Amino acid sequence: MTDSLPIHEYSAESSPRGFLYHVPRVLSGLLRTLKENPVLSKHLFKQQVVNRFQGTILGPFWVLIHPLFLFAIYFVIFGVLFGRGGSGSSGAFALYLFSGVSLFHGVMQGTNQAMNSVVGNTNLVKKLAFPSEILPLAPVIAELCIAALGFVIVLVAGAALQELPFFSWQIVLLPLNFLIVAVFALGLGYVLANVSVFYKDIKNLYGIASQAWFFLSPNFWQPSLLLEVDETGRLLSLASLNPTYPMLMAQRQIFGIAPPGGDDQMVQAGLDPVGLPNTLAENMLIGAAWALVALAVGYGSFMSQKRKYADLV
Amino acid sequence: MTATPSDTPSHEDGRVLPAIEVRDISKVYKIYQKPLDRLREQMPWNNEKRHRELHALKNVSFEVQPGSCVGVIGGNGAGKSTLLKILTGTTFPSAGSYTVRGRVAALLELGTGFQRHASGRSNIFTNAAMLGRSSEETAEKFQEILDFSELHDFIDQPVGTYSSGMIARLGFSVAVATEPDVLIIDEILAVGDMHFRKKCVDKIMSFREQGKTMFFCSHSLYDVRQLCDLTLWMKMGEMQMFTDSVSVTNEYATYENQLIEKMAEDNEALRLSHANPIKSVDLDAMPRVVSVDLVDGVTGEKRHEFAPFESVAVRVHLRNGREPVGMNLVVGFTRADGTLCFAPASHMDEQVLDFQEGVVTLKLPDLRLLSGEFVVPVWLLDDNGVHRYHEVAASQNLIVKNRTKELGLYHTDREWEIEVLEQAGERDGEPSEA
Repeated sequence: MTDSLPIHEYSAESSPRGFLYHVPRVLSGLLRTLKENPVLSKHLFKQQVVNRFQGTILGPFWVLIHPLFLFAIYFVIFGVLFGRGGSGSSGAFALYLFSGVSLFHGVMQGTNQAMNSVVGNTNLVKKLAFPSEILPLAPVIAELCIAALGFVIVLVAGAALQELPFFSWQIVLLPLNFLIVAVFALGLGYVLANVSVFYKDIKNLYGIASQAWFFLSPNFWQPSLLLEVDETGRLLSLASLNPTYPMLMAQRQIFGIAPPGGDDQMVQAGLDPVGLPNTLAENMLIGAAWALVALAVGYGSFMSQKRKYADLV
Repeated sequence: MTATPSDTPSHEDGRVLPAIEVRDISKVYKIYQKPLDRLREQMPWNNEKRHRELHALKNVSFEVQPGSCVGVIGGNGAGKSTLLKILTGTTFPSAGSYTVRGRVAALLELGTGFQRHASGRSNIFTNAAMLGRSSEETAEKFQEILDFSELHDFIDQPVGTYSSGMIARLGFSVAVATEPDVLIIDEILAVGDMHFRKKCVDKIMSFREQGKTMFFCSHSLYDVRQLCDLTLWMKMGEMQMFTDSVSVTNEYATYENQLIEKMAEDNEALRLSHANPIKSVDLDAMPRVVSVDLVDGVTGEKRHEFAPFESVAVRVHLRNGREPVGMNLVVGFTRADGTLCFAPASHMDEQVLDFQEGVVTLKLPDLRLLSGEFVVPVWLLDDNGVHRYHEVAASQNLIVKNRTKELGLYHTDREWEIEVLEQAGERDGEPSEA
C-alpha cells in the first residue's frame, strides 16, 4: 500500500531540466503525455474545432468554404490576372496553387494558434497543475486536419478535371508527407509558444514574417519561374533552403500535378535543373529532417522553460 | 485491502512520513521595467542586472504530518498564495525543495477551465481530467458529483448560462470528488449561498475526520481557529510563526491591531505633511499641539472612562510658533463610524489664544454623550479659523458607559406632555357621563 501514494518531489536545484535533456526525449515525452492525458487532449482538440465554428450559421461548412475561397482569390490574382496559368491548363495551375496554398495555410493557422495556446490560456496555465506541453498540440493537429479536408477537394477536383494520375502508388505517401508537415508545424508552434510567453512582440513579428514566408514559399510560383529570373540557379538554391520548399514540392509530386508553364518534366520526372535534390524521395527526406529538427528544438525549449510560464502569462 | 491511500500514510522504518515537507523554499519574481530589459539581459555580452527582484517567499521550511489541518494566515502579499500555488504544482520555487505525498486537489479558484459553451455534464469530465482523473473514474463518481452540486436540472445546459454561484458549486463538487489526500483550499468558503457554504464546510470537516491533510488559507481568523489544528503565519514572505492555531491567531490578531493603529497614525502624519509641508521640515516654526489628554473635570486627573453627566475636560498643551500668531482650537468628539458628534471651537466662543506656550482646558461639566467610544481630535487653526496648523487626536479615546438603559447617541433634556383626546373604552360601552 505504501507505494500507492503518488509523491510529488521537486527541487529547484536539480529540477528544471535543460534543453539538452528534453531534445532526445521529444517523441517518448510527447507520446507519454498524450497517453496519460487522453481526456484532456481530446477535450482541447474538440474545443479547438468547436471554437472555430461556435455560433456560426454555416458551422462546419466553413471548413470547406474557407479554403475554397482562399483558393478562388489566389487563382484569380495569380492565375488569371498575372497570367501564371500561362501555357499550362488553368485547371492544372489551379490544382498546383490549391495543393500548396491549403497546406501552407494550415501550417500558418496551426502555428499561429499554437503560438497563442499558452498566453491565451492564462487560467489553465496559472491555476492548474497540468502538462502545458499539450496546449500547442491541439491547434496544430486541428488546423492540419482541416487542411487535409482541402486535399479531399483537390482529389475530387482533380478527378473531375482528370488531371491527376490517381492510381499512382505515390498517393500512399500523402499521409506521410502530411505527418512531416504536422511535425514541422508543431515544432515551430512550440518555439513560438515559448517565445511569446517572454516576448509579446513575437506575435506581430510572426504576423509579418508569415506574409513574407508565403511569397518565399512555392505557393503560386514554380521553381522554373526562379530559373527564368536567374539562370545560374542561385536564387532557386536559396529558395530551396526554406523548410516549406521540400514539403510543398513533395506534396505536388505526390499528386503528380504537373506545373504549367512548359516545365512539366522538371517536377514530373524529378529532374534537377541546377543540381538541387528534387526527387520526391529527396524532398520528403529533407522535409522530414526539417520537421525533426524543428520539433526537437521547439519541444526542448518549451519543456526547459515551461515552469516559468505560470509566473509570466 | 480496500483502504484508501489516505488511511495508510507512507511508512519508512515504522515512522510516519510527513504529508508535506517543505525545505528552505524561496521564490523570487523578476520584475522588468520594460520588455526590452528582459531581452537586453539575455544577450550574451550583458553583465548588468536589469531587473528588480521580488521575494515572494524567503527560506520557508516546515513539515505537515498526514491528517493535520493547517491554516495559513498573513496579510496581502505575505506569500500565502505563492506557497499554496507551489504546493499545488502550478508554480515552482526558485530555490529549495519540497515533497508532497498523496494526491493533491487544489480549490484555488473554483471552476477554472470550465468551457462556457459546453454543458455542465461534459465540463465535469474535462474538469476532472484537468485534475488528473480518467473518464472511467469520473463516470463512477458522476452521480456523487451531481448530487453534491444539486444542479440536476441544469446539468445539460451550457455552463455559460450558470450563475457564478452555480459554477462555484460545480467546481467544488468536482474537486472534492477526486478524492484527494491533500486538499489545498484558498479562501473559497465565501462562495455560493449559505446553504451551499454549509455543505462545503461539512465536506471539509468530513475530510478532516477522514484524516486527510488540509492546507487552508483564509483571512477569517475565526474559520482558521475553528478548522485548523496548526496555523502558519506568513509575513513578508517569511514564516513568522507555525504552531497551534489558537496561539498563532491570537498573536496575529494582536499584531494586526497594532498595524491598524500604526497605519492610522501614519496616514494622519502623511496627510498633515501634505497639508502643511513646512511642518515636516521645521516643527518649531509653526504653532503646534504638544499633547492632548482627557482628564476628570473636577479632580483634573487623567482618565478616559466616564459616565453620562460626569464632568469631562480635554487638556490641550499648545506651543506657539517662533513668531507668535493668533491661534484657535477646535476639539471634536467623533464616534467610531466617523460621525462628528459635536466640536466646540474657541473662535466661536470668542476665546483669544495668543500666548507663546500654554495649556487650554475645555470643560464639559455634564457630558451628554451616551455609551460608546469616541475619538477626540484636536485642530489647531489660525486666527481666522481657516488654516490648519496642526491636527492631533487625544492620547486615549473617550469611553462613555451608561448606567441607565437610555438609547441613542446623546442625552437630551425632555418633557413629555400627554393630552387625552378620547378615553380608552369610550367607544364600546356607554359614554361615561360626567
